[in-house]
Parts: sequence; C-alpha cells; structure tokens
Amino acid sequence: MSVGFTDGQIRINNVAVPVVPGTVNRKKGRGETSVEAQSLGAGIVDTVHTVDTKTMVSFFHFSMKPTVENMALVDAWKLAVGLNTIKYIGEEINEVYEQMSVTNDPEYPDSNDGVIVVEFEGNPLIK
Amino acid sequence: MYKTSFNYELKIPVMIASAGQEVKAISIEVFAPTNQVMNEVGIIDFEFNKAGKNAIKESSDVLKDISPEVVEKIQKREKKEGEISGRQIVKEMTMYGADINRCFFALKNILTAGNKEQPVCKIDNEKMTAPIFDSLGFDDTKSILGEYIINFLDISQDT
Repeated sequence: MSVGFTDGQIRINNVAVPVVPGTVNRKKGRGETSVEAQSLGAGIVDTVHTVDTKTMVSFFHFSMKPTVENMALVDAWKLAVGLNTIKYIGEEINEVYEQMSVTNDPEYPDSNDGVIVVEFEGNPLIK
Repeated sequence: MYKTSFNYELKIPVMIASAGQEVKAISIEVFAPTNQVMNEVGIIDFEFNKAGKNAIKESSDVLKDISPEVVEKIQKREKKEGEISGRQIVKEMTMYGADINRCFFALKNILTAGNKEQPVCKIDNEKMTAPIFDSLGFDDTKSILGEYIINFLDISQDT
C-alpha cells in the first residue's frame, strides 16, 4: 500500500503559506522531450530524442482563501518579479523553486467560498 | 552603555530564501527591544532575575560556612575569568530554576516580530521568520538567548 502525498508545507520567501487543501499543482521544469524517428533505409529506424529547452520552466500553482493577510502576501509576491523562492516540504520531499514570478493577474473574490488562484513560474527545480 | 543591536554568527548555518534564491545564512543581527515585544522581554527578564535571586540565596547559604579568605579567593578568580558567555548564562539560569522553555518561546516571538521594513531580527539581511527560527540549531538558540540577556537585559554588564 502507498499513501498519496497531499499535505506538504509551502514556504514562500521564508514564510509558511496557508493554502486550500488539494489545490497545489507543480511542474519541475525538466522540459518536454520530443522523440522522432530517422530512417536508415530498408525499414530500419533510429529515434532522435530532443529536450525542448524552451519548455524548461517550473510552475507552482495553488489557491488561497481571500483573507486580508493572504491578499497582502499575494500582492508582495506579484511585485517581486523573479525574486520569489518557494520551498515545498513534506515527508521525503524537499523541493526548492528559485527566481519565481506570479505570472497570472490574481483575482480577489469578495465571497466566502471564493479562492485566490496563484500561478508561479520560474527556474527549473534545483533539488 | 546602551546597545542598539548585536551580531551573532551561527555555528550551524541555515538555508534561507533571499532575493529569489536559496542561500546559506550565517549572520544574525538582533535589535534592541521595543514595547512591541514587551511581554516577551518581560518573561525573559523575570526568569533571568528569578534565577539570579536563587543563585544569590544558594551561594550565601554555601558561603556561610566558608572562611572570608576563601570567599575572597573565589571572588578574585571569578573576576579573572572575565566576561560570561551567552551559553553560560543560559546554563546557569537552568541550574538556578529559571523556566528556560518559556524563555525560548518568548525568544522566538521576539525574534520573529516586526515586519520586513522594521524587523526585530535579521538573518543575512532577511527578516527572521518562524520557519527560519525553527531551523536554527539548539546550541545556537541557547547562545542567542544568552547574548540577548547580556546585551539588552543584564544591567550588571553596564559597569
């Protein structure tokens, strides 16, 4: 039996951040790899594997409740273009995302069931 | 002399986020207490003085049975040993009945107080936060508590 990982701690710029459970989604920025065939004739093929470095961008998405404190945090992250560091910690997980920017323009809903969606993108994962 | 801050170098460096990158931090700067942290400073001050009072009581009980010449020798030796270190202060506070856990919690609240513009404690120019404090080594925490007392609370060091 294995237990799925759903409850990591997120620290952004040294501050522990409260998020809506189950909304964290991340990509390590290893890049997309395309695989194409090249022919040697007589039905013999070889494959060419190429990493598309243009796609080597990590992302880190999550949602937060629209509290005054959370809105202030999101505002500060949005202004710190390329200067945010995200640490994602849990059992067997210790990921550091560097030079992250908030790429979306976060919306702040005035409702008790609304959420702020935050989308970071930046350097590929270093750890 | 009134001090406005003191610096401390960590024995065990910690990783912190700074300007978009994760860096190894070793230097801590702690600023003098303001009323923003008066409750917490009061706790440490109370526990420090309580331990001091217990120490005086205990030593006067012991010295009662010792000749004045020996007492003089002990006092001379203590003077020679010079300044007391932060770790030593914490050790003696523990020995003489201070609630040291209460002091550590108070220290955490003090060092993590303030905001980014006006922090009470900086670690390599970043504000000290609860996760950073939690990652400090225990030995360093003891030393910082002691240095805080020596620099900002222990009036006997003024002379």
